[in-house]
Amino acid sequence: MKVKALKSIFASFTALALATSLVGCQSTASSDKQSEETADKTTGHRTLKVEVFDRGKPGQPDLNNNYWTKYINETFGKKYNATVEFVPVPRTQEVDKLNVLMAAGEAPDIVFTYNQGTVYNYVQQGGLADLGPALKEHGSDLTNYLGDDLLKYGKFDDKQFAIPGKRTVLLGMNTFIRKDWLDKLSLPVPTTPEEFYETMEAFKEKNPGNVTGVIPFGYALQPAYPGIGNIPDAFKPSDLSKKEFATLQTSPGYQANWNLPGFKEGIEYVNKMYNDGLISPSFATDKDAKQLDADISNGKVGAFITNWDGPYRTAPGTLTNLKNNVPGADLIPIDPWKNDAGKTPKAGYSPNGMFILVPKASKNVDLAVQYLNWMADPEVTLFLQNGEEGVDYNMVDGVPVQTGTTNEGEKMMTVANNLDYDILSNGIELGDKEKNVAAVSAGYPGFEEEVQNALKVGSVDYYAPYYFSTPNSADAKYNTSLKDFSAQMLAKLISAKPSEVDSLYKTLVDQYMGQGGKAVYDEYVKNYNAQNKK
Amino acid sequence: MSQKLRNRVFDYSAAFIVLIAVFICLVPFLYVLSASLSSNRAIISQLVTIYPIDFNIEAYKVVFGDGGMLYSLFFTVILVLIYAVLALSVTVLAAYALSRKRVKGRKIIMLVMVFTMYFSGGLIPDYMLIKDLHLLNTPYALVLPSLMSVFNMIILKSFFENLPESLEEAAYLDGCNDLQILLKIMLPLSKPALATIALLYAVFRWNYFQDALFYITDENLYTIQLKLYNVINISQQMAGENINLNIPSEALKAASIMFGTIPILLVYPWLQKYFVSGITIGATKG
Repeated sequence: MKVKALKSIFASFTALALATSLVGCQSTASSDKQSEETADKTTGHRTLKVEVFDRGKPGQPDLNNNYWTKYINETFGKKYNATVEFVPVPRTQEVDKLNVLMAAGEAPDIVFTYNQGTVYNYVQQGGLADLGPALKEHGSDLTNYLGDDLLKYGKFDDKQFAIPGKRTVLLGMNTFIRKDWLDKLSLPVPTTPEEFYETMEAFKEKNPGNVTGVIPFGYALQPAYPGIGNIPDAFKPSDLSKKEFATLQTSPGYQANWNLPGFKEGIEYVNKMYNDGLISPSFATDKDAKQLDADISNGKVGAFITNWDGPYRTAPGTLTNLKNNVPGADLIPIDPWKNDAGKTPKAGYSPNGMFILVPKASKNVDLAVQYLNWMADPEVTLFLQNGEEGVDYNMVDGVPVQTGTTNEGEKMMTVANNLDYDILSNGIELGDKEKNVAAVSAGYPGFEEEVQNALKVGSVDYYAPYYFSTPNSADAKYNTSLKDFSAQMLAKLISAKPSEVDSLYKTLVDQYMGQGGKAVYDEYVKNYNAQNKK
Repeated sequence: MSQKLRNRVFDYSAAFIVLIAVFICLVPFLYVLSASLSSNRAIISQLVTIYPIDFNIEAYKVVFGDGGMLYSLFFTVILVLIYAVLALSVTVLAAYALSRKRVKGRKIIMLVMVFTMYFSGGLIPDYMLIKDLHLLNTPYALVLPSLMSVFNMIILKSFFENLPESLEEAAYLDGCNDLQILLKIMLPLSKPALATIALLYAVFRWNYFQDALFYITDENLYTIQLKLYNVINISQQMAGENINLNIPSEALKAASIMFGTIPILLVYPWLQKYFVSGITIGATKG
């Protein structure tokens, strides 16, 4: 608690100081840079500073001097008479550190963040370079690679202040169930919410795993992501208008959208499960889902909703643990949240990855765009994500299969497919959707087929969040407090008596709207109307 | 009940309560230690308590095989030594001077110093100051900004104030100047206090990482705590990354914590004798 409080104080101080200092220090920064430039005018050689995430991976090489940085300098650097220098920024503190660097005019020429609010703040304070002109002059490959559909995510006030990376895996959540339990009870895979409920009741009554404290439906209420997974999609009317969708489902799909039609029915569904003893009893205190991970690993949980690839990930490695703890256990992704039109819609990510920015103080806007343009070349992407063919990977059916050389030493990738250097793509990029699917699953050793299946199940009726061309300033202001309140609301509503849910829902949503929810909603409506006026 | 028995009952119950307190302090440490020696399966399944399950030392092999980690440890040890010596010197000079009543304006100097305990410029002004002093990405940025803790200075100042003034007068009459009095009379009498303050500084420098986080981007100047921070706080839930990231396992995190904690723990037993006398030294004075 204390750390959290400190963190928020820290963050607000940063923001406050940023506002006052951003403009002031630019002048000194640019004068420094100018003197550097004049010194190099004779040769025309330039230095491009690029941010790189430091994930602190044990054994990682020098992030500014390794196989990958040498490749970048030998190819891009030679061609453009430039040295590319990498500035490590700790992954877990990236926003704080970026704020400091930006405020002091010390930021590298290319910086990035996933945090849209941070980008929006910089835009408001005039801290970012408009990349439009440079993109037109030097960025033809880049523009072709991203297309207008992606570039629009980097436009603010009609100016290209950010280059959005491309996300290749857009899936959100999947529902998983114990296959061996279904088999033992000779039950079919549930395909509707009703069937799912009956299956959960059967799991509780018959306890097919023969465990103490069986938890048919594992659930953890994580305040950072307060929601009930894909469940509300089963109750959301399929004939929602575009405007309703845009203005009512504004939180990411897996988080609470209190005014979205069907959300209340979703809550009632979970509430009923709670009162019938079907969900994790300690769901409200399991804030980091560690208890849930333990329960799944120990074979107590029948079904749960998590990231589309959750059980297959190396860490925490729940499926591997489960198989070790309970021989014969297996988990499969299922798709039970069928709506009134017989579809199973699943909210996912929008197609943009991180926001790549160039600070206004940078004297290398053109070079920065040239760098990104160079990176958009499929050959460069392939090399940065996989290494050298025949050495670091072999092509099998058009999909690169790693040989293991990039797990250690100078070639170590601190994250799969080197996303920290190949900042343009979030996820493997082979320029072809099907190849990408095959390649993604290669990143889960031992679970390749399962992951292909999870990708298939999770993509059924996928939908992206609505794209707004104007950021919501009320949301930026209230997001944190409303999220906290959402978590409290979920805890109260899920553990309430079924007869009280209806009135409690109304009271709590009224409070939610009073605490900023209304301002956020009104601004979404205003932005939507402005955007669709033409 | 005789007096003797009553005393014994008191002794045992006191010992019992202290034992419980010690145990409570030890449990988290034991947990991390056993986690670092257990399998990932056992940790995630919450089977590990205070002894390892599926004993293995793979995590330590990785940590000790990591040149960067060893380098940071070595760098931090040197940094802590230099910092502790410099910080202690500066603190002694300030505390001793301010403890002498004949120093003029000492109240104002105190006020200015105490002011900094309550108010600071904030992160970004600090950063800009360090930048304009050209200290970014230098080891000085990890030493100079936190060279003196006013809090520690006040502790030491009170300690000096309690030393009898007649000692100083006697030394004067024997022909000592101020520096000689400090070095030859006062400091030898203050060993316990100095050891305590030095330890406070050393532990502070060992544990503090925010300055390294913001002032340093050169990996050669990373302190061990910053390295630890990076390893421990990375999680699958990092915003915006919805793929298998291959993050360090829980056992590896635990082993890294042990790696970063044990060296500073080793300092305690070595300084313990000073601690005990440091606590009792003022006990009989009024």
